Amino acid sequence: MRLSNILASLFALFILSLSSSASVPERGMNASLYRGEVPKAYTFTYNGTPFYDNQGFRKGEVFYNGKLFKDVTLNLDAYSSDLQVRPEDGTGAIILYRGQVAWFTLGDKIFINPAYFGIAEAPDAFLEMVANSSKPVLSLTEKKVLTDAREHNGTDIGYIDPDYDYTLRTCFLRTVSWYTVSGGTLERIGYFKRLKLLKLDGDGTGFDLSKVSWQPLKGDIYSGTLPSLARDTTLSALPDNYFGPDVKEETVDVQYASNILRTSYKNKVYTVGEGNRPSKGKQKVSGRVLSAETGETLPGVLVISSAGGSNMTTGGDGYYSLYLPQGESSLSFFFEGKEDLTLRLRVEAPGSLDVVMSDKVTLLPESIVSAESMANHRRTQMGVEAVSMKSMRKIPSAFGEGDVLKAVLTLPGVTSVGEASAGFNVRGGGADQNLVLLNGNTIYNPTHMFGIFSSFNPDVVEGVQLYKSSIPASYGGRLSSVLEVKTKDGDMDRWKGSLGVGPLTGRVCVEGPLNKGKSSLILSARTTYSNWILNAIPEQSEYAGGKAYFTDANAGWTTRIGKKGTLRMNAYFATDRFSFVGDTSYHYTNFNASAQYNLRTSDGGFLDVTTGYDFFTNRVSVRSWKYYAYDVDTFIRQYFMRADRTRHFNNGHKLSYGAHFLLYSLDPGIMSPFGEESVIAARSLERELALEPSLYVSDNWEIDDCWSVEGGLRSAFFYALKDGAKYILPELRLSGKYRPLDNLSFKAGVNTLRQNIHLISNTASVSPIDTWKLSDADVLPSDGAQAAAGVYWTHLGSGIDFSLDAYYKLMRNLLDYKPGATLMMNPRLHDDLVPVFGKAYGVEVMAKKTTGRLTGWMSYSYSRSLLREMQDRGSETIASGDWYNAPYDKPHEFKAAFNFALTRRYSASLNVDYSTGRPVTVPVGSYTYNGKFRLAYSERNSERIPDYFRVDAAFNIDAGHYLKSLLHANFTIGVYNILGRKNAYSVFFDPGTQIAAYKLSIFAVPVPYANLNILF
Amino acid sequence: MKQFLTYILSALLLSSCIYPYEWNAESLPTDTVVIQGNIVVGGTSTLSVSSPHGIRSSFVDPVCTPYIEDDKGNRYPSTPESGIFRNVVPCNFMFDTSEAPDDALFRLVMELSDSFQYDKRTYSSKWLSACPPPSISGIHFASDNSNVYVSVSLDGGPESSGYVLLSFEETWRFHAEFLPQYVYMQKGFGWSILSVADDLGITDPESYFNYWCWASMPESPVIPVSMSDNGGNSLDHYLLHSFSRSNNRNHKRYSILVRAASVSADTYRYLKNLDETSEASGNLFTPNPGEIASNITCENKPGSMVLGYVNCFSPVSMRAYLDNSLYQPRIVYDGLAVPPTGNQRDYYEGGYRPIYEMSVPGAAGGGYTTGIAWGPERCINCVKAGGTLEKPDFWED
Repeated sequence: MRLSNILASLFALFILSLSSSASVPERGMNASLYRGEVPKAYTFTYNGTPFYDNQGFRKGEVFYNGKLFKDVTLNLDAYSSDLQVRPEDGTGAIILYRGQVAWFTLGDKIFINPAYFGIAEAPDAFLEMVANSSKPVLSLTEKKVLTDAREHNGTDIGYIDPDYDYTLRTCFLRTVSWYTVSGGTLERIGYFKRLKLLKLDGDGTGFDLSKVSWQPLKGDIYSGTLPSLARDTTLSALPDNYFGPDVKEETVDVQYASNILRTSYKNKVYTVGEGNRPSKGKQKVSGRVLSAETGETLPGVLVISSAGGSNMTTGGDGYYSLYLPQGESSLSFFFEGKEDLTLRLRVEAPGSLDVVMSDKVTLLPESIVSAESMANHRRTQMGVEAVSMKSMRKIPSAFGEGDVLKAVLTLPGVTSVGEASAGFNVRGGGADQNLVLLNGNTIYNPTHMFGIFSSFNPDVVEGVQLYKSSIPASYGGRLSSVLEVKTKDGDMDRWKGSLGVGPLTGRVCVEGPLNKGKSSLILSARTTYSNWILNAIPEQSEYAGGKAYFTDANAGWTTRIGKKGTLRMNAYFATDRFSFVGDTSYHYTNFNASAQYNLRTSDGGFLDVTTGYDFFTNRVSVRSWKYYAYDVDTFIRQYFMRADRTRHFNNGHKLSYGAHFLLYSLDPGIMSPFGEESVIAARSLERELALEPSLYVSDNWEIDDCWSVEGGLRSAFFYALKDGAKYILPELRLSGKYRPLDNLSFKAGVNTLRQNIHLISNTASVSPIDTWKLSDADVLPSDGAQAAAGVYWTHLGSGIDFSLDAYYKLMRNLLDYKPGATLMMNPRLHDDLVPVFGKAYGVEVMAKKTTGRLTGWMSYSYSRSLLREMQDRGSETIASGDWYNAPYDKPHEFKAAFNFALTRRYSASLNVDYSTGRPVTVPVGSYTYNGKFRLAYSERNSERIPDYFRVDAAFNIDAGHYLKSLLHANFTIGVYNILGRKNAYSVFFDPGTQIAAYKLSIFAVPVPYANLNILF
Repeated sequence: MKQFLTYILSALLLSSCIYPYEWNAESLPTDTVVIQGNIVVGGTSTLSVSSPHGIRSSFVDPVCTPYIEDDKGNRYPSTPESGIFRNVVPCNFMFDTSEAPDDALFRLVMELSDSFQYDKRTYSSKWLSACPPPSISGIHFASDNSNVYVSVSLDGGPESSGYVLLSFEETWRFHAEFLPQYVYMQKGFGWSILSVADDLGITDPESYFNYWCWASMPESPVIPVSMSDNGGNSLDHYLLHSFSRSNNRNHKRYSILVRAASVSADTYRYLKNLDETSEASGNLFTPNPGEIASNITCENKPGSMVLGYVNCFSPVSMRAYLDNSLYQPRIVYDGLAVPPTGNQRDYYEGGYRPIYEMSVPGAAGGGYTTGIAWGPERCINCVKAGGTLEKPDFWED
């Protein structure tokens, strides 16, 4: 061998040994601790932290495998109940096997593993030792995932995060449960018992950890079964091969865990190249992509940079390398079978970033589920229902589109007068008693095509929230419910979109950044091509010659102002035109625009300032006779401004207050002749103007984990400028919650509400000729009060939530109509109206499953809604002054909406809807008058149409995992009314000596549909 | 894909349907009375009393003795021959109120005798006054390609209530569809087709064949109208009636008598509600039905049900004529046939008559066959078509 070769070999060995020694860090005396499972990354963005608190890793002690390890850097992942330890070299954390951990300290807190000591009924988690009197007090802090942005900063997430990002949908929610040990069994305790035990511990004002001695741990709690804690014994290593030969100690795991740790802890920004010297232009960022489960490199991973133009696929060694601009950007990683991963980066200089991708497991859905379950237990309010757009898309609807209102109708306590009717009824309230808000704007007619579609494009809706009982003090103006619809913000990182095609409609949605990471735009539009169906209707049909057309569009612009501010501007437009038989056509339009500035405040709360404009117009065009051709238009214009402030206090209080200002301008009728020959006199009903300023304040006080109360006052002042009528009546909100167990809560509440704008209708369904009227000297504001109580229980094993709600509502000054009332162009409309009392009560039982492959809910409601005329008008008094059924009174209701995930892509949905038929007024005889057969009717609404029953089924195919593909598609195929039941929409009668009765079924046969959504 | 869309389309088109429906509801009380009264100040008042048709019950019309009285002490009994009593539906009465003072209040009173389902009782209406009558300023005719429209203009006057009742009577002169050139009659020992002009020497075939007639329609149901669309107290070109251009009303001369009366808001509301709730259409936006209380009550038994209303008004009328300038004669072949010679007698016995010579397409293979076309007798005889040869008294040529 030549000397040069020998030297070269020696040099190589030297270099190899150097590199080898560099890649295997020195573990120190606790090295035996650092062999364990690598923590999984949380591959979704969130607020809060999965860890016990936000103090990060810190020094502590851990009694592990019978030995005490001191000066260990550790932290407790309260989401997975894992104790993580970090080696001295600062590399990634390792999860200690919980079964071997007896206790550990984290800062000045002490945690024990009750299972380690054989304590019965102990949760598989670490409990904090709070007090150690003869009856110890322990607490279990858990973190859940909640998919609900907003208002969780502070006590909800466990600390006040000044960087709380309200645009993130997901946050880690903190819950604390309390226990004591009795007879060797861990016993869960409530507030009073905890208070009592803590009093035993000292002065009763609380506890001081400095007073906590270690000694009772050996005795009182563990009854002598506790092994010696050996606090003073320090061991440095486990026996050789303690974990067995299968456990490998590999540097690579630890290194990758380092990145994971940063992801899982903050999950906001990775800093790349920190401390390195930046190069000119773009900086090189490189690293390897590995499997979290196996530690193996992953070839073929698609890596996409938000900076644009930079993307690549990892090579055989899992290595990637991209050039990114300095500053903030993001990298997305896609690989079949792995969770999609997007990391936000701050690139300072060239550097490396290794990435670990986790198998696609059900972590996120499971988390959402448990969060949903727990959210209801935590919330003081009752009667709050949230439905995500994801859930809505799975609920079958008549023509396959995910439909906001149809999804809401699957909830207990929500009904409609017919399956294709506009409007909905909540807990015995009229259709006009629901405040429908889209990004804060009021939508007066939220439906298209007589109610077949809701007027919200499903592609742009993020989710809806329905308040049907405890309506927050920040909302007012309607008696029964608030339906809050939120649209998505545009994507700040990349442009993307979707196209949707259904039997009747087509949709498009495009979103993307205008200034990456700072501002975004989202645009969507939807239209119908239904005329191809209507044109094909046979001429002899009543609907022949009909035309129907609608379109709607949304635009949203979002920009971040500073670190804490966000400005959103939204606009919405929807219009409908339709006519049945030639001569009369209907046209209505919603237009809404708003600007909202949201500022996150340092106290964990927020300040929202919103201003906007709502516009609704309705036109009826009559062309049957050229001399009497005319248009009648009505207009509602609303100008509003509101400021809402929420503050969090450390003592458990969340204070909300604000001021709203609303100006109504209502044109109840403008009649215009059409054509030169028309003799119709142009005339207008007097415009109605009114001011409605209001103030509110409410406080949600989390007294402890068991008790919370929320109280609020809303003072709404109404001033009708037309006749100077003024009305002011404070509205009360009060609700309370008692939660003795994590999975059991009791709630009760009362509230009063007032409504100053009324829908005047004498048809069963909300119709295009209905008119709106403001309160004035003749038409008093409607007001009402509701008391409700409920019990909520979650079965922990199955994850099924059970709820039982009962309510009782009283209302007055509701408006009914006199027979023969003229609603259109009536200058003395109030003469045709009668004020009525309203009374509604009911019970709602619901079981909801949000975990596993089968998800959904089923509910049964018994409810009544009755009316009674307030005045005595002699023989003309409706129902002789007795209570009579409201048109939407449906005593029995059963609903079920289920989705079964066959695989991650394929799922089947089933929807069941049963309800008692709605009340109608039917003939009880006929007679001849004025040369025609006439019908004599029963008392108002004393009879019912047949019961309603419908079953729908759908099969859904979600987007595939072909991540290299630029296009993805969702496909839904289903059948509406699969049983083909001929449900009655209405019944009507032909007069004669023998009255002929008929029922009209809107969907009398199974209606198949298909819907395709293309994502790009 | 096309097949799939067709399937969707088919399903959707069939999805909305109307089906017969069985329902159960309480029937009307058996002592329910239906009353339609019109107190016509300055004219002849009428009253109709009947029983309703029940859902499950049968009713027998009541027996009653009615009269009208005013607040000045006058009583207007029904004319002796006007009442048609029980088992005839309905019982109709007339009252001579031509001399009634127009500034009085009136009411209708009915005394029911004991009967099968009505015990002895008395019904009376509220005291009513007649609104000042409107003045009809014009009756207008217009047409488009398919219809003729009749509209009316009127002025309610300064004291107008804003509501009027309109009704109309139609009379028109029309002719049979065809003026025959032939007749089929016995001549000698047999029957044969003869030429009207050549064989019979008839010089006025229109009279011979009852070619010209008058027809009329009885008074229409009253139409309640609000004058708010025209500013509150007048109507301008209010569409009253329409008929097809090809209707026989356009054959020669058409006349319409329009009656109008101002009524109170209550009367208008009652009649409008009655129309709306009786003409059930099943439309999605049909107003919910409701019953307006009658203005008639039972004095002995206030809770007993009364259907109907008593109106009080003072009507005016106007007649207008329309000549047949709009008429476009049709060439009608429908219903005509050319019977074989051997079957002519059978056609005749069946009500067919020869009309004129015509050519009809022959059997397969082409060509035309010429023969005498026959048609139903109503095609050549306007009396058979529902007309009358009697000229109405009011008719102006």
